[in-house]
Amino acid sequence: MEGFKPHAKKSSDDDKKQQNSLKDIMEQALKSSDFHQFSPVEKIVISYYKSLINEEKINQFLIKEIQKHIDMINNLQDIKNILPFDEVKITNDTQIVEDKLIKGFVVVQLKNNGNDFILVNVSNVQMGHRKNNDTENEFSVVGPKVGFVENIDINIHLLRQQVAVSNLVIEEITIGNVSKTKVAIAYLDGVTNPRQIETVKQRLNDINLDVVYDSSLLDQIISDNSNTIFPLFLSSERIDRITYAISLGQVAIISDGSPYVISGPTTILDYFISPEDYFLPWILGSFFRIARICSVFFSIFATSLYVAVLTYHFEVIPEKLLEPLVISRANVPFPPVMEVIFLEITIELLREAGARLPAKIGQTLGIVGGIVIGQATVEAALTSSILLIIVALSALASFTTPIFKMANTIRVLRFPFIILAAIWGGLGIVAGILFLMGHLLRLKSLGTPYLVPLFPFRTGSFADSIIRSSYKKINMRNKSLKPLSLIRYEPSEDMEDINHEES
Amino acid sequence: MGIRVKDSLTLSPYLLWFLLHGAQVGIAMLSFQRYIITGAEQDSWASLLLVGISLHFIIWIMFFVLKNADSGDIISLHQQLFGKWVGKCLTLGFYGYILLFVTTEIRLYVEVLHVWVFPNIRLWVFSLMILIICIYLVSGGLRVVAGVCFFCIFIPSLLLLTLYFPLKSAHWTNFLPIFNHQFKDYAQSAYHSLTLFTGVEFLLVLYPFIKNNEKSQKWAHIGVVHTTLLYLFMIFVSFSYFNIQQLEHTIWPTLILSKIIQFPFLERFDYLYVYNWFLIIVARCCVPLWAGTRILKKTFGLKARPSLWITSTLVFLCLIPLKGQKIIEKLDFLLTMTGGILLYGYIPFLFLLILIINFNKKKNMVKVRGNQ
Repeated sequence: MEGFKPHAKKSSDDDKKQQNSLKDIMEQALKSSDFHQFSPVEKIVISYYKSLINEEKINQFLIKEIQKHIDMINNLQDIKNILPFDEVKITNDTQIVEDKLIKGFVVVQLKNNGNDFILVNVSNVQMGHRKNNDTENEFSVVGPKVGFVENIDINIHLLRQQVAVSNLVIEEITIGNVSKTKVAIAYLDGVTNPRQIETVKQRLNDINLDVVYDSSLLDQIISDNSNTIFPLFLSSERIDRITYAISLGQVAIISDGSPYVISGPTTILDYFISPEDYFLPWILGSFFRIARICSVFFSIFATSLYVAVLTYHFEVIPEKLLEPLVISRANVPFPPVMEVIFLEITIELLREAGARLPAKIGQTLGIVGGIVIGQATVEAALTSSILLIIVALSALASFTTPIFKMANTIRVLRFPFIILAAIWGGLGIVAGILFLMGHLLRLKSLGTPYLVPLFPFRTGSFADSIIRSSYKKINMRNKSLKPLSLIRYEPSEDMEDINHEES
Repeated sequence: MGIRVKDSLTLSPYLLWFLLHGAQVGIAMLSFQRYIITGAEQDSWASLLLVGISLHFIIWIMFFVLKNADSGDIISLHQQLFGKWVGKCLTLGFYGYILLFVTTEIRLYVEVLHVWVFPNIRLWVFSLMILIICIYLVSGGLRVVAGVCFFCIFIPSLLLLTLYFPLKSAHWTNFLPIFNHQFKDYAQSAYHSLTLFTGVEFLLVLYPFIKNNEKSQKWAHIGVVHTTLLYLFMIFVSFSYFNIQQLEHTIWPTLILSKIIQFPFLERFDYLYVYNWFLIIVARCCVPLWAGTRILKKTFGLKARPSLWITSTLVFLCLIPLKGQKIIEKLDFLLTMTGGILLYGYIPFLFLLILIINFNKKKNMVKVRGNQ
């Protein structure tokens, strides 16, 4: 693959450790029952982990070829010449042998030639991975439904299919002293700001971790501020979204074993963009995007406003509206804040239980929880029916956010606001807004302010932010991410109006 | 090349607009109609306009003065002109003004809160809450302060749209007769509108933090134009809605004005105004608190965070004894007077001083050349 620069990351432990002799390595390996070592012909020893390799390849090609040409073999170079594999390497470095053995390579030795080995890649990458790569969690009605899977090679393949230019550079490093996970960063050379690439590489290189379970671990470790509930890197399983991010000049980080690819630097508005906005006509796309952003505000503030109004400022509500409110609350023995927190926690429990249960039971639970509990709590006069509507609506609104991490953030944000509203009423809500504002203004993603283009205010970047303008207008990259080249494509100019009439 | 701090710390010049406008607009906008009509009555808008225009001159002077300062702020200028100790004392005087500025702002807002929403909550509780929020915001640095100013101007500006409702019942004859007052009436109104424009003086501390600060002057002017237009619009709406006699007896005309706004789901729009003013107040407190922090840091060599805490604690200690309603008039009077002296007395004085020094330097140079 072009642009690959494999270099093993050496943690400080490795440097201290003396290089093991081959004998030690083999002894260590032979403790495992899946390690095989045998001689198919007299002068050759083959060793490998059975669980990691493709046995068919060994039987059909490796052993067969060696047996066929047994007379010709005098040294390792001869073996290398006859083997029909692309990754065949001769080395005398036992450290490499140890690393590669665990990645599914076969070690071939000549008995009379002690110090050199051949490493042949016969690893079975497909084994144990799912074949089905639908986008399960970021669904869209229109548009492609192919998503990333848990295998980095397939993911890079999928990405290359979409970004078919040679300046898509993919650089690889290894992270995790136990898992030895392959992590790749992908960017457009000559478009992405080199400083951002350097920052990502630097931060990834500094990671000291045992097992990389998922790319979201990397996301948390390399983020600019770890004391925040806001996601600073966008993580997505959709190929189109990551392709779009790369084409805008962002850096993508792909981690082996994770179906989520993360990209950065991001701004807060990126998290409310759904790929579907681009597949629909721009007016519809903009409308849905605005609806999504409004629903965020509704989701955060609806219940806290309910608490503030009913606890302190009931005179704000007109009499005609106040009447049904008061009547529905007449038998509720709790203050509004307890009522709200009770219901909000119920909804959170329903969501959490629904996420943990298998899909089929989850559906049933939704019905049981949503209808039965909701109806019963109102009838038992634990909550008012109007609050039930508000809480259900705000839960619904929080699910419209396309990025799961951001949706979680919004759900959590509600609780401080409810508590502040219970203490200070509307003043508390404004105080909360100020704290939130101060926090968001401090956040940076890979050194770019998080609130761009709202603040610092950039008029040029609004074509694709709160609204999604037509493809004629969004041909420029976001200037605030500081890409090297701004133009994505040249829009066509053919128009038929009074300005374009030939004389 | 202008005088400035490290390149990565500077802000875009356009943010000067929001920083200055944010520092100017505050609690006074709720009640200024009552003050400025003493004197020129229905013609007081002309006084306000005049003050607004004269402020451009002051800004020009400030930029001139700052260009002549060593490191571009009033702290270095004082030391440069008056020597180390007198300079420090004068800077401390400016620091005292900052304390007065923040104290007045918070005290006046707490009064609004007491009357309109929470009559029983203690003064110190509110003061502490406002100050803690300000500390959190200011400790993020000037960039965060600028952001706060930006959002705290943008969000409340949406409220201007709701002034359509009072305009529906406007009495346009309230403005008549035009220009039937004496000069001294206009002067009186102008004096009372001074407090509305205080806040531009923080340019004296902000200046080195602005990128291309020598060319950023237009943004300061735009900020003041924005402020002036905003007040003129407010006065236009209030005068057409109230007559002069009503205004004399209304403490917070802007809030009373907002009571007429009604929606099917929202009565008592004034609550929205009161809470929105929280944003405006915080913007107006953050800029001086930042300036105070900077002054303590530069004059006493303290670290930034402790000096922010010291400044806020001093404001808090000032606020505690300010109970009772009469104190509000006194505070307002004090701020108008000191602000007026600072803007129209002290800053022109610095200007003259620098002119004289520069003139002497030139003369000496000519002399030296002549001798050669």
